[in-house]
Amino acid sequence: MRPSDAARYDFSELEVLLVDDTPVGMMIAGQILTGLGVRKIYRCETVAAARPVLERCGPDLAIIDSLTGSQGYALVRWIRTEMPAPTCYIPILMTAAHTTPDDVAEAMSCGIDFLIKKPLSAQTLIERTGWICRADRPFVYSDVYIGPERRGPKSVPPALTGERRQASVTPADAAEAPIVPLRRAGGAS
Amino acid sequence: MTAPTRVVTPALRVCRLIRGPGGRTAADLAQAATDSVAQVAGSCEAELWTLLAAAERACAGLPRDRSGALAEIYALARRGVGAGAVCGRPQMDETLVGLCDLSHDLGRQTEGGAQAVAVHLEAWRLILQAPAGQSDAALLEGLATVRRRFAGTPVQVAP
Repeated sequence: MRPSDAARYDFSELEVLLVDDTPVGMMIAGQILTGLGVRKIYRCETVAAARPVLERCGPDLAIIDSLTGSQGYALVRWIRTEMPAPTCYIPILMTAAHTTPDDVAEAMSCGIDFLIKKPLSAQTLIERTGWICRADRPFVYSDVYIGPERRGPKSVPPALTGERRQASVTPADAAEAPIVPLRRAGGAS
Repeated sequence: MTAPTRVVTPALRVCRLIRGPGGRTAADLAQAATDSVAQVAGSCEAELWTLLAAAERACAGLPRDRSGALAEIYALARRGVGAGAVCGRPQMDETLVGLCDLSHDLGRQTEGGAQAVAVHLEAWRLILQAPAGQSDAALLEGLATVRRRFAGTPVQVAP
């Protein structure tokens, strides 16, 4: 038993946005969330379907695939720059079946909390969500980046070592990743 | 003029909700979620067969439309990643990610690689036909060796 296994969580009241354009990805993530007890899951196969959900429902957590044509990164940027508080701050776990170095840099600069390589596992989802809730991670607004703070020792989850560490990366891993100018978000407090 | 960097620490609703009183241990939750995922093992396996058939058709089209066929194979392999772990064939996921790597690398080249794609599709079929839980490290190593032949090759510019 790992030390983190004894931590207690209640996922039942969470509202989770799930964006994945692959039937397999949607099915697996949906089953994991259902198994965790999440009762309200917004399943969207496209960015176009996800935007109105974000505007109307304000989910507590988003699991967004990188999507065909890297549309997932654009959706994350849109959330961080265009959505009002508190939705612009929601933790975002990005999943990806295949990543090139360019993809990783893009993922890290768009404002995600974690990039998780598929296959997605229940253990990974619990660990990452639990860490997000323990870390009190600052949120940064600058001309070139809007999203969870990417630097500093607190950005590296202590539990992520060894095999699983290779399966996901935090923005701290890519603090020096290329960054592109962003619009500043308005109305954030 | 550069605007100053601003830092806030938002109170996330997700934190309040999942750390509320009660709840279940992470170990219990992980087991429940794993059991839940196991319910779709059959669907995942069926999807892998469907994707394989489509990938084999796309592979047959490589000589006619190289870039289109490679893009199709990439998309099909990407769609299957994750299903292997659910239906007791984790090496399937490694094979599919490898096929993504291969088709991505081949997309940067103007010729060759059809046999390498075919070998990956044959491995895809073999893994699906084998009983769940069976592992073949030599097969994965062989595929990796094939991919290394095409990885990192500079883009060839047509004259």
